[in-house]
Order: sequence, then C-alpha cells, then structure tokens
Amino acid sequence: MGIRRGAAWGSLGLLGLGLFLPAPASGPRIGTDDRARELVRTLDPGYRPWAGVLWSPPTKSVETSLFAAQASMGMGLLVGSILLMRRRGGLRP
Amino acid sequence: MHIAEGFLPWPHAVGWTVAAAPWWVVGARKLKDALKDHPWKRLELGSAGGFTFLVSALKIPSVAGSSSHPTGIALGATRLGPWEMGLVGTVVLFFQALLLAHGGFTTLGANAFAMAVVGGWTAWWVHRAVGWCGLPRCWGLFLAAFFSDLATYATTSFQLALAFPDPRSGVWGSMLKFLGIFGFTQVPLAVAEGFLTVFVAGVMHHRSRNLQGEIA
Repeated sequence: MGIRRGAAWGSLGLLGLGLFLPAPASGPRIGTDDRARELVRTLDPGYRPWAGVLWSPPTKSVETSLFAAQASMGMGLLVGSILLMRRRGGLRP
Repeated sequence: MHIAEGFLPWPHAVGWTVAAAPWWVVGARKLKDALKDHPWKRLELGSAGGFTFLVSALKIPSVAGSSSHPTGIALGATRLGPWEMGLVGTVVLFFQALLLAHGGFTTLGANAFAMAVVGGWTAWWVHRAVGWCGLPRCWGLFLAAFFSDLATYATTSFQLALAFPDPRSGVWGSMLKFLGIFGFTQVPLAVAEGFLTVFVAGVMHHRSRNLQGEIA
C-alpha cells in the first residue's frame, strides 16, 4: 500500500507540476507533434502531405471535448474493469 | 508521437505498415487464445486498454513551453504481453485517427510500430531484465513505463529522420533534431507515466490475483 500511495502522490505531483511550469511568452504551449511538423517543413520546404485528414474537429473547444471524451471512456473502462475484478475477487470463498 | 496524416512519404508509410502488420496478426491470434484459455484476462484487457485510452488522451504541459502525452502501453505489455499490446495500442491509435484527427490512417503503421510494437516490447524486456536483476517489482514497472515511453519517441524521431534527412548532417543529424523536440519534453512525462503505471498496476495486481484464484 505504501508503494501504491507513493506512486499515486508522485504521479499526481509531477502532473500537477507540469501545469505550473511557465508557458512561453509568445503564446500557448505548442504540442511536440506540431513542432515536429514545423521541423519537417524546415527540412523539406517542398514537401506537401499526400493525404489529408478525412475529418477534423471544427474548433479547438470541440477538439478538447473529444479528447476529454476519450479520456473519460478510458477512465470508465479502467475503473469498470478494476471494480469488476474487485467484485469477483470479493466473491472468493 | 503521432505523425500526422500524409506527413510520411508514401513508400515510408507503406513500409512501416508492412513492418507493423505481422505484430497485428500474431497479436490478434495470441489475444484470442489468451482470452479463450484465461477468461479473467478480459478484465486485464479492459483495464490495460482503458489505461492506454486514458493516458494517451492527456496532453500534459511540460518543459520548454511545450506539451505532449504519455503512451500508457507499458502496463498492458507487462501484464497481457507485448504481442497482445501491439494490437491494443493500434486500436487506440486507430480511434484517435478516426475521431480526433490525431495521427492518421496513412501513418497508422508507423505510429503503431513506434508506440505499440517498439514501446510494448521495450516495456516487456525492461520489466524482465529488472526481474532478472532481482529488483522489486515496482522498479520493473516504473522503468518499463519510463523506457517504453522514451523508446516510442526515439522511434518516431528515427521514422521522421529517415523520411526527412537533414541536407547537411543526414539521417542522424535530422534524428538528433527530432529527438531535441521530443526528448526534452518527454522525460518528465515518462517519469510521471512510470509512477502512474506502478500505482494502477498495484491496484490491478491485487484484484486480479484474487480473481485468478477464484477461477482456478
């Protein structure tokens, strides 16, 4: 239990710390995927993507909501599975 | 680590898809057999898949004004197996490409190879190696998640560098540039992922041990 509690506090602490790291003065934080795309354009300015996305979220808020929905689905699946394990484990004579 | 749609030249996209395909086929077979022989693994599959869905959706702020996300592949790779997680990780990437326009279908093979295959096998080997050294299990899980995360981003850097070599320093020079983008941001997140994996695995281990005993 001590290890689990330590790990939980450690992960929460580090994730929380990330929120307080200073953002760049020029604007919001940039995702590493976007930075990699910029570097591709720098390394090969003539490259044009040969396929485009079939659909993309129309606004930033929709995108954020979809990411939140994915995280919620994942959380539901994770917690649901662990609760089922707990329930079945509890049935053990 | 999501290479965007169309951002790999098509021969590279095809090549990485071909490289990832055997892992999907063997992973599907192994998963089917495992679920048939060990029904309790369904819950492990649910929790491992859920964990990957959850943490790969979290865009977390990191150093240098950037943000990135963990992969969440190590938990499943150490509990279900690297073959099985090769398939589960690909399903997660598929949904992200379909619903979030994050990654892409043309780059699914490359992204799956980096995250689900290299990330999964790295986690599995590190976990085993730590076990052989006789270190505590939580250390194995922590290091498995840490190195799995970093290996994923190193592979993505290699894939991009291979496709877009630096005009002066070539593939390795380009790889260093991509590693400079991913590596600096990813190290704190890999540490956080390590802690989170130890915590969730601790909860799962306790519950599934009871469950195995019940079914046996």
